[in-house]
Amino acid sequence: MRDIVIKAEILNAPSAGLELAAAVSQSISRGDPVRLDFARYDRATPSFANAFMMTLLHQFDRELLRSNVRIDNACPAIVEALNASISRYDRGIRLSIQRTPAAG
Amino acid sequence: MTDAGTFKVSYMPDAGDFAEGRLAWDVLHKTSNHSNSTLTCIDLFDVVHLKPYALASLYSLGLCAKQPINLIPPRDKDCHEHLVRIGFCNLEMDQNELPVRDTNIRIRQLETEPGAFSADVFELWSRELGGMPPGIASSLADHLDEVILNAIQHADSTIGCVVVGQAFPTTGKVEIAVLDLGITIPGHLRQRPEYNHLCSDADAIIKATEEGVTGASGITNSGVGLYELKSYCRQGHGEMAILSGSSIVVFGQAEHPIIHAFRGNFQGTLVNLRFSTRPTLTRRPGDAIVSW
Repeated sequence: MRDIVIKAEILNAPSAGLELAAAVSQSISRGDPVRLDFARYDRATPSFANAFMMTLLHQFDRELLRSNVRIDNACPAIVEALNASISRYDRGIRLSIQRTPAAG
Repeated sequence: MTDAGTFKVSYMPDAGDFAEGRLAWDVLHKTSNHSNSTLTCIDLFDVVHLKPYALASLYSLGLCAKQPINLIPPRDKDCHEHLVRIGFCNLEMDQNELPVRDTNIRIRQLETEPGAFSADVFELWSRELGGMPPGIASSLADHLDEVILNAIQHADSTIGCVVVGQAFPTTGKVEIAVLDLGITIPGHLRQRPEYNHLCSDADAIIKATEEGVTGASGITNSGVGLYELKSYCRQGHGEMAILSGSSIVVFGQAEHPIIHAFRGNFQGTLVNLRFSTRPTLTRRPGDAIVSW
């Protein structure tokens, strides 16, 4: 299992979520499970959580994520933010870059 | 005598209250016409107090002025000191001589992602207000981050955004204004064909607070920031007023928002937030682990 270091100072920008998702995606695409340690964070905005979680949910099967991405030491606020993103995804909400352009 | 380039601000432009529709109309209308501004002087001589949204408006006028603006300071000593303390101007007063008071966010122009800005604000206010219940400071910082990100990433504003705020220790309330001079919320939403049917600017503002609604296409956005903030206000923890285009919409605890018309067309978006720092948050059960 590979440890991925989260570089962002604060988990509040979608760019940080995309960056983290890209690192996770690269690793599990190679068959390398990953561990993410959220110990130094006390919050994550919906923008960060959506960019991170929805990118992965869009690319991978749920079961593959469950068995290949381990999230450690996440405080309740971060767990809530990440779970809220999963819930939104399940209700059909997508990142703007994942949406099909509407017919004009 | 007042020349054409002078903007004389009236006695108490902050007497207004978004919820009751009394606003600093002269300041907001002047900001609304910023692109045609030939402003050379702001006259605050008669002003005795300025709320965050009025300060953000005046500051943005300075940012988009074509030439340096002369400022006539308030004759009221407290108001004068307040302007110096929050960094509105130096006004020939040494900040080091002022008593320390951390109830204000010093005026900031933000043009990139907010980084630790919001966290620092609420950490400071938490200290100044004698602490906040668990989770409140980080929850409020999340909401402020989302509003700032909206202004920076979606508004196409030439000045980024201006943020200013004030805490009120006796009531435990904080008030924050985030202002941009961009394409407005209605203008942003109407970039997408599915929102072209929205008739009024008020409709567009209300639509923008629905979950998953965004006008963005090329950048990563999910359209949940304003929805989460509206939901937070619905729980009785605060109030969000949005002025954009020709409408002001106030979201509070009531089921339906309060809508006011803004005569003219505000060329940008002002989000005015009022939060209680002493609410009790309830966390959803079952959030102990991330459930893929």
